[in-house]
Amino acid sequence: MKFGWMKILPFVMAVLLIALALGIWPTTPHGDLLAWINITLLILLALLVLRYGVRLVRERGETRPGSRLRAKLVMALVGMLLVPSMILQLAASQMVERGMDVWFDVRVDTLLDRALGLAQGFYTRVETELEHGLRSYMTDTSLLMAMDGQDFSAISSRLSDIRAKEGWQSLQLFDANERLIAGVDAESLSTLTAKPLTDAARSAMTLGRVVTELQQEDGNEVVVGYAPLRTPQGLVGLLRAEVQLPQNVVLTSRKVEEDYKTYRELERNRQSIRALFVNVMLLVTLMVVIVAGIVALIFARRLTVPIGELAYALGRITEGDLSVSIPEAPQDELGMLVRSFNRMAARLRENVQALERAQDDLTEALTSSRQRQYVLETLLGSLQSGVVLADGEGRVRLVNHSFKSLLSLPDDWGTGSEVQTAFAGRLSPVGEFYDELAGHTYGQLQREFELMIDRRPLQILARGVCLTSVGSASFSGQLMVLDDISSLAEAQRNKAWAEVAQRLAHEIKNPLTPIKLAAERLQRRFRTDASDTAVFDTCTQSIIAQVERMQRLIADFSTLARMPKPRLQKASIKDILLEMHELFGAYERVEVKVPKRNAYCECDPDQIKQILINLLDNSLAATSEKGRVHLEAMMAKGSVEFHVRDDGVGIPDDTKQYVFQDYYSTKPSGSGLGLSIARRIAEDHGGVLMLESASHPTHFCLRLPMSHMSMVAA
Amino acid sequence: MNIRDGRVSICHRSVLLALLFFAVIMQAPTVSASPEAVELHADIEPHVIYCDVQLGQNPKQLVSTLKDGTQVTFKWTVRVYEVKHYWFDSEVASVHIVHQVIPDLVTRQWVLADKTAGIHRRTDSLDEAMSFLTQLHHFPVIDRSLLTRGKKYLLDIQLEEVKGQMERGWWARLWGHEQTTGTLVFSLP
Repeated sequence: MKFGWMKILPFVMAVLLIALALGIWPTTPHGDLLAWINITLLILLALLVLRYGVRLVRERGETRPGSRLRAKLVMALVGMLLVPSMILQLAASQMVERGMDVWFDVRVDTLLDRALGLAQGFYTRVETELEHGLRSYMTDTSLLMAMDGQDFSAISSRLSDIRAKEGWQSLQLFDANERLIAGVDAESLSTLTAKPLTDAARSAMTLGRVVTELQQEDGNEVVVGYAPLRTPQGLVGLLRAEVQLPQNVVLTSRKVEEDYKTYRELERNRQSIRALFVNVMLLVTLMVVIVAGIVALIFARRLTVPIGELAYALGRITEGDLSVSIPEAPQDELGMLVRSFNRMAARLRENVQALERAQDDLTEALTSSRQRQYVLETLLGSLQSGVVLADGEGRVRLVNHSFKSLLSLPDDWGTGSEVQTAFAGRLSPVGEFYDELAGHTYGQLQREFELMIDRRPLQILARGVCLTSVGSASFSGQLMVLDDISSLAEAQRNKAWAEVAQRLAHEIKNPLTPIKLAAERLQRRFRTDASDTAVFDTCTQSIIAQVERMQRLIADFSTLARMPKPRLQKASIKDILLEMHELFGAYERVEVKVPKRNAYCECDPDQIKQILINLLDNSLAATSEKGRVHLEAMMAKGSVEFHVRDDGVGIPDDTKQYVFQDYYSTKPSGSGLGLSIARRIAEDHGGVLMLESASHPTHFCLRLPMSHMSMVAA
Repeated sequence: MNIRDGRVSICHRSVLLALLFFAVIMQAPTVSASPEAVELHADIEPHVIYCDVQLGQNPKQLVSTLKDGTQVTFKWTVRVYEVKHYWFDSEVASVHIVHQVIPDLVTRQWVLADKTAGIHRRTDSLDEAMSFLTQLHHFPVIDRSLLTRGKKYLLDIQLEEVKGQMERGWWARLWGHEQTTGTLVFSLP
């Protein structure tokens, strides 16, 4: 049966039940108890069925677990019982109807009428004969004469004759005053105390005619007749006669009467009897249906409760509530299912708890890992050293900001970038170090190299280690740490050379002056004694010149060793350039461009002028007489630049990287300290001295920061 | 956790259904004919209050029942209430009379039995038997001394008609018999 029929069935059943209740509704006002009981039960059953039907229709969505299944089972069981019961009820009603027709057959009716007629005829005949006999003695002369003469023996004799003749049971004679005069009895002597006269006797005396009545005594029935005795003078007496009815006839007649009454009563109540039968059968049927419904309900509940609880528990588990459990079910297949479900739920709970514990552990580990990563990133971010970690495939896994700023890498370069693509061109030393590190599978690797970053040479100390997978740590790659040691190397170099210079100056400077004085004395006292004066002069002059050169050299050494701190003051750029112009005014090929607008900066003007003099000297030395040397100052954004250009021979490409190194000089008489000192002065001012162009023109740029500088009108 | 939720208790429902059942059952026998079916008159005499009652129903069915030999019993109940306006009327007196007619089909006579007084008599007249059943003539109801002058009283007549053998036991009422009622309000002059 499909569920669609299942939904309609309760309503059909309810309609049928209500129709049946209306069908047996009592037509009489007083009604019938059984009918009302049946109607009540039918309505209750209809309401119960209707309730289940409404539940089936209304509870389409989420319902109480098992309710729909229970409703279906109850409806099916009640329906299976109700339909055949109703058919049986109809058949039984028809049988009762037919049986009533047989019971109250017209032949039975006629038979009872005739039997009652016979009984009535017997009683009527006895009364009629009694009346007829009494009427014949109402004017009996013998009896009247005896009464007139007060001859009691004659009266008794006459009464005995009459009784014997008529066959009456007893005969009594009363006078007009209702006093017993004489009496005869068939079986015993007549009693002198007579029964009091009844209303019938008085009626006979009053009416003057024979009156009979039926008297019942001790189960016997007696017909009593009264006949008044009258003379022309009036009423003189009353004759009372009794006829004893035969016992068997009386019993038979009364039995016939009783049967007749019973039959008539049954016939009169024929519809009531039929209704009684129908109602009793219907009551039994309804009781059976109700009991069956209750049993079906209990059975369905026992069957559906575990199923409903299973469905509900499954729903709860689907929603994530694993604490659900089902009470123990009976020892059957459903019970096994319930116990299996409980075991499954318990196992699920244990697994989920284990998973939750693992998740907590993982979360804790992840938190710890994140904390470590945060600490590591913070540590790496705060490091001045550049750190990069590359995996085995050459991709960056970790890099800090110092690394990118140290190598002037773009901001988008970072995790996931290819290491080799970044370390090409000017950063090729880093790439070479990385390649070497990749092949260095054990221990640390350390190298120093120089990089040109933003036109500045950087001395880099690179250290690295190759990471290999050990145990569960499956990561392998290379870790590089780069440090800018330019300042450190410079300082170390300067300190070493300063110590050498001081020592040389101290050791050489002292004998130079006596040598020079001795050479001059020789020139003054022994020039005239010399055979070859020209040779003598040349030699002494050479000694003096070389000693002076040595003294200058010593002075430069001293300057390098004791480079003073710049004495910053507000200095005019224009004044500096004017001084340069005056100083080199003798050289026509030197062109100093003095700006019309003055500018000031905080610097040590003597040291700045020393740089410019150094640069101009070098330019003059490198140019011919027809060459040109330019000096100018330019205001740039945030800085001021002094540019020195010349169109001299220039600096060879293979040596231009050494021009700022200490003691490197291409001039025979140069100390190699001029540009080195100039660069140190520039750096002490926070600026830079750069070789913009090595030749055509040879261009040096001194850039000083503008932080303490301001432009004013000329 | 026990997932068995609270089932709806059927206690209240059962009580409601039982009340409905008994309301229907008790309602059935109390269906009565209209009050106009009884003609009721009060006869206030110096010492006793009498009443005359005449059943106004068509006696054809009753005659037919008697002729079929079924005994018929009329149970009259006469009550006198003191009428109260704001409370239930209080009963002052109550009289029960049971008249029964038993057909004697063999002798074609009617046995008239006053069950209250225990008197039996026979009659050949059906009309007399019908009058015996359906009428109360000059029936004494209450002594006048029990009533207060000026107060209103309600004379209430209830007739229960039983055809056939009279049932015994408390359940007899449940089977239901025809009942007729009549009321009359009177006050002493």
